[in-house]
Amino acid sequence: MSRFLIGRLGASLVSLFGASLVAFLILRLSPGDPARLFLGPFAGREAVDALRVELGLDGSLASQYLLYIANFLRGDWGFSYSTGQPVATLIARRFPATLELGLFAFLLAFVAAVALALVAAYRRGPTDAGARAVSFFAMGVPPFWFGLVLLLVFFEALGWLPGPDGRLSLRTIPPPAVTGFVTVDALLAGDGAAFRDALAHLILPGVTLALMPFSFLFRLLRANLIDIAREPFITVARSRGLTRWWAFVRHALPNAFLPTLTASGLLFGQLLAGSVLVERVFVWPGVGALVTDGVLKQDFSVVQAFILLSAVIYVLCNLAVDLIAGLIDPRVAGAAR
Amino acid sequence: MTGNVVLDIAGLSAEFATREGTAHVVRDVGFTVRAGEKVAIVGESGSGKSTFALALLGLLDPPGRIAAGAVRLDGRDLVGLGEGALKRVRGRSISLVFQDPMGALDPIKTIGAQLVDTLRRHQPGLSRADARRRAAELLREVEVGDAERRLDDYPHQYSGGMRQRVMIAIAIANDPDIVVADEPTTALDVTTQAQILALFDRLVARRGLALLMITHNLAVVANFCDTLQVMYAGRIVERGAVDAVFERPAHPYTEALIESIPDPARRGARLRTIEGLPPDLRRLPTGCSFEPRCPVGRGRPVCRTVAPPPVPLADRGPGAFAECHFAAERAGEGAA
Amino acid sequence: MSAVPARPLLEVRDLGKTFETTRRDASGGRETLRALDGVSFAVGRGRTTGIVGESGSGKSTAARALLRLIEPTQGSVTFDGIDLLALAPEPLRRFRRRMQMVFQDTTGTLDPRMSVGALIEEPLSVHRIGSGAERRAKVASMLERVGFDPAVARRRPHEFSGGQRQRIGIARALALAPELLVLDEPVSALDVSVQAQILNLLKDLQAEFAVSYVFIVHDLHVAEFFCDEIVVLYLGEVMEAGPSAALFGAPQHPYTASLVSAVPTVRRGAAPARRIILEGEIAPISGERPKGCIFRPRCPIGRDRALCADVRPPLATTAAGHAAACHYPGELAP
Repeated sequence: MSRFLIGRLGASLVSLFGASLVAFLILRLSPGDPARLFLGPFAGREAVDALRVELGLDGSLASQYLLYIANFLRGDWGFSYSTGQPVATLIARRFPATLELGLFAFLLAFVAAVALALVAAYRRGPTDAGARAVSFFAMGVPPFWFGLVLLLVFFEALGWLPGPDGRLSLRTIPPPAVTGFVTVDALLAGDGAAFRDALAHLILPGVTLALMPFSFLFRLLRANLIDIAREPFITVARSRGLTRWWAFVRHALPNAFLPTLTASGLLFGQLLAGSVLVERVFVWPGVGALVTDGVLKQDFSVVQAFILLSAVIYVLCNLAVDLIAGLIDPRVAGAAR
Repeated sequence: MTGNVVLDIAGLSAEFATREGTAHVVRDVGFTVRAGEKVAIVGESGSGKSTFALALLGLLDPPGRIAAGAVRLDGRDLVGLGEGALKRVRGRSISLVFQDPMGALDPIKTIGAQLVDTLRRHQPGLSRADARRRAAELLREVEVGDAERRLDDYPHQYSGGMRQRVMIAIAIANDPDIVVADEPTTALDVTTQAQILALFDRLVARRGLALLMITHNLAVVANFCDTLQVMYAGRIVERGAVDAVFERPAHPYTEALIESIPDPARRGARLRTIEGLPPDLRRLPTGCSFEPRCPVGRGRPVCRTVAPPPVPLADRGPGAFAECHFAAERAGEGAA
Repeated sequence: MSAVPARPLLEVRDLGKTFETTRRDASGGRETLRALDGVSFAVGRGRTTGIVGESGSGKSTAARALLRLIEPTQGSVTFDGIDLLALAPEPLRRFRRRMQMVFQDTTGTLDPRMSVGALIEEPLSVHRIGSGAERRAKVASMLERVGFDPAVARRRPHEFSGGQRQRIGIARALALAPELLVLDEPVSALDVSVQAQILNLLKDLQAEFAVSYVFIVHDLHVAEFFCDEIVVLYLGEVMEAGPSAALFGAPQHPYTASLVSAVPTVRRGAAPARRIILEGEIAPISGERPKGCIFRPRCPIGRDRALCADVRPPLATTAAGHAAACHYPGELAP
């Protein structure tokens, strides 16, 4: 197992190095002098030069990169020019909102994809055709447009769900922050009304964000299920006394799930990218909204931190997924020993 | 040494819907199998023998279906039963051994888990610990060494021959009345094949179970089974005691099959071949389905126009027959 | 082997092949797997040598090593007096037209996107033989020779049955008029009636083109029926070699005797008086080989004998052209 582990860790480090280099170069190659941008057009030349030295901008590109990595690891992610606050503080404040939405969307996508793929592969025929049409739609529709349509229907027209006003209605008193997840914090505080309100706010952005990963997971799982359903061990399982459905659930699903799991590491990238637009549409106070603001206001240190943070999350998720697959699949685990 | 009728198949037909019409893959097959009997169905690829095996256990999925007939297991007809009723029969009264590609066992579950699951599915009262003990006993019965430890191994850690032993352990776990074995030794080496056949022999003798072996290998049948049934284009065209059929095949197809096996005693001689291809099962001829390839009947008006009825050949074992217009004279030729 | 004419077409001497595995041994080096060890045999002109053995016996490795499709790690292969292992890549490539191979798996070895005509023509154009028109005429005559209407040249492999595809494979291999054809289980995937057609065809073609065959086969009936000489392999070593009739009629090595005894036969009268059922299964040996007989762990007569445990039996002549690697040849009869 250890060689398998070392190999995967090595690959992850290489990915991270690449991502950090890109993030670093984006800021270095972007127009304008960061020190000048930060201090504004009326600051004196001496002050700008002093800040350049303080920021390490006078050194070589390599030493600047090393300084940048060292700072990042220390939690010093630079200052936001537009707000004057440390980027780390800004992101830390908004990250739980993004994470809560992302996890909720992933859960929705996962449950829907597994259920629909199972039924589609089991029944085939018109059921399968219908399920594939749904997934095709989910893959093709632009999320921001779909988010607006959902708002029009379920908020404007029907009034069933809250509108784009963040994580809670204005009337609702936020529960004391413990985890940063409003739903969890509401439950911890025993505040049922706040929990229902938080959940209602999650539904529309959650569904919008879930579209892409749902479609991805569904198509992969369905194809794997159909392949594995043809394997002799499914027929053998039925000949042992399992119904066709249970042979599907007990034997086809776990086997189909393995390759799906490995590929689903890619989903976290999709989720993070998707959240940038979806947070905008639903006025969700997350990192995504921060980043769009950063881009519009040329606040590049925010964008840069987001890129590197996304890369770290993405690489960690993929690593975790690979390790879990390695642990579950006896053939991989055996070969790696 | 044989006992009660375990399996009684009557008029069983199975078909597949295809774009170019219905393929009649199994056509009006009927026979019985008694406890302690070893009955074979021999056929070439496309003869319908594997579809027949699946149909027996109600495992035929769309576009395939059973079109007619009855499969009576211990007197109860399985045809038309739903999955809910079939699941209580499969793996308990009738079970299946597949050809062993790697794929017959779930690759991500341990051998023990698959055995325990089979046991507890049909014996809900069995505790996990007891089921595990039973599973180890079963592995010992099929001669897998170090049984307790090997329960925790995965299929890929077993060799081909050992996996086939596990398949047999699973098949006999709930003491079934009949085991259907579809090409059980085809993927195995000859020394392993001999081991597996000897194991089957011991199990049949010890447990009195009935064995229905489905294979393309005539030689295995000649050495191992009591009754031979030859399948061609979805029908059993000849049935009889193994010795009698090999001695004097009554159906020209059976004869051609036997003679196309290389016989070292006739080194250098040309092998008998069967010209042409099996018929399209969607457009079967009105007469004998073997007629276009038959050295005896090709071109004869009776063979071309009249489907031959089964001609009983009583002195060649119980239920012996051949579906050939000339079966009686062919079977009698040698006796005279 | 005196049954073979004075100068055989192909002589294989002491052929060995060692693979490195991905596993590490105790000292940290890569574990090796000896797939072939000291394999020697000869093939006469216009004759057939069968290589028999169970899966894992090394018979396919032997076929590929003697054609240098994989590089042997020891030994020599002499083809018509030419040392094959000494040939540089380009001369070897040109030499290949004299020796061709037919595979068991016709689905994987005939490119599904190419027409049958293009498939048979390809080796001719690779070796730059004839003009385009001549090559097409050759394709047509080869197709006719294996029993097809030349018009099928336009069709693709998937339109044919397994037996028909095998005939296409044979036509393709014979198009270059090779002197040696290595047949790797050419009939194993076929129904018995189709197998008979292919075996008949191979016999006819051998008579017509005077081509020699190395026939890799696990079915002992086919081996005995079809081959002139037999080499029995076990874990990459020759257990026994000799003329087909003598070897199967009176096997000298206990492994051959067990194989012969284990094979079911349709002729009931010919069934062996007692059936020898070997215990265990063939299991590859990585790393150090045992110093004694490789077959000893499964041997019905040698398992407990000190000589078998300590000394590797050499391949010793037991009768004219017949040799067995056993300290007690002929002791176990089927």
